[in-house]
Amino acid sequence: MRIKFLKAKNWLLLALMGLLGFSSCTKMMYDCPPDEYRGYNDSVVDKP
Amino acid sequence: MNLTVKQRVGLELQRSLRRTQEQLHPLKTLFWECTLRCNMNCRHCGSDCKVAPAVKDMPAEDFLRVIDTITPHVDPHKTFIIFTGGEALLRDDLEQVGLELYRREYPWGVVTNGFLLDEKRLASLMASGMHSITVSIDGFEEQHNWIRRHPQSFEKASAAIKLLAQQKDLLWDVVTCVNPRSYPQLKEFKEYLISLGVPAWRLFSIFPMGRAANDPDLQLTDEQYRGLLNFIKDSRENDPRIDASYSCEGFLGPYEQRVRNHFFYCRSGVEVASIRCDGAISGCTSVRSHMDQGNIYKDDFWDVWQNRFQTMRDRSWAKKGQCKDCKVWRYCEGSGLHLYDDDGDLLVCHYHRIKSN
Repeated sequence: MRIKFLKAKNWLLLALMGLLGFSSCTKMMYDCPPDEYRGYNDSVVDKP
Repeated sequence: MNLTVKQRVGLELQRSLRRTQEQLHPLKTLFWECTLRCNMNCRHCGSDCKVAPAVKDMPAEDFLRVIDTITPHVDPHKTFIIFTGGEALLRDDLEQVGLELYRREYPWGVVTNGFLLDEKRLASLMASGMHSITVSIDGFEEQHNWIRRHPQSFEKASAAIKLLAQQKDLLWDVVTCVNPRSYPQLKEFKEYLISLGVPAWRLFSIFPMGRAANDPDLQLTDEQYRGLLNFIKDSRENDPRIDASYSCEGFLGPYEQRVRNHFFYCRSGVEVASIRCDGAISGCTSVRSHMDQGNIYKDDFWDVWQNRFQTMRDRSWAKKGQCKDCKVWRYCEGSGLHLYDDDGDLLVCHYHRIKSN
């Protein structure tokens, strides 16, 4: 329950920051992972 | 230049966000210091690594064993694994480890000096599912080779960057440690990077750690430091050709959200963990070893991540010395943890450097 509350609060804060034009994600490769997994590389030979 | 009302509102929101993140501590980034071997001898090396270091490379299976203990607890798609060193590409089993991560659906990347990144190696990394790569280049040939103490380092790093520029489906960028020798050529160097096709450029100032701790020639003056921030700010506002940004270190007062995509917040131990070559579990790899939280050869990584790291998640201990009465403490909370010495004292405050006129 506590985790759900914290996640909801997190989401709200991020939404509010976004509305005010602030980014909260670094968009830097090793400070923040991509928002979405970019999927498998086509070049990978051994696909799972 | 002072904080604007809008910046203060954003910083308050960021502060609330940080509080929730400290409690949730989602593991978003995991560094693996896969080797301490290095093919260079950089003046500014934070690891102080060597050609033949005392600590041997961690066996791949030891690292993957840790990954398998983490996997049930995280969404692999949202946990980014970065191979760092030493020089990570000196390991010839990097592709095997990468492929194993790929099979477990983790995005993974490499930080490299680019020396060993030729067409064949890049193809093999890509074929193992590499998601991102960062190449370090610290200035033009003279400055770069001086700081790297290797006569071919610039040529090799440039060649690696040219290769990356031809790739599709790969996230990559370039990092530059700005020092007094490279500082005067920043504008020209930016043009050079743009000519190579670099999409994103992260600029660092060198912090006094490792070898750089004993070399005052590597530190920018306060005036140069402000000049660096102004250069990045100007580039972000007026030059869409390249995404320039300042590194994650330190609260920057009026420069917040102007030189980076985000507000300052030290993620070490909150969202970022590392496994060092000797098995030590820590936050960011640049944090000193006295802040290690455990060791994979003695402890369960996930148990450590869940139940330790208090010193990184609650920074109230850092409110001392110059931070004790600082009016921006609530936004900064003691700057980046990598800026602390072995006694737990802050080595450099970027905010004070900006304010000192």
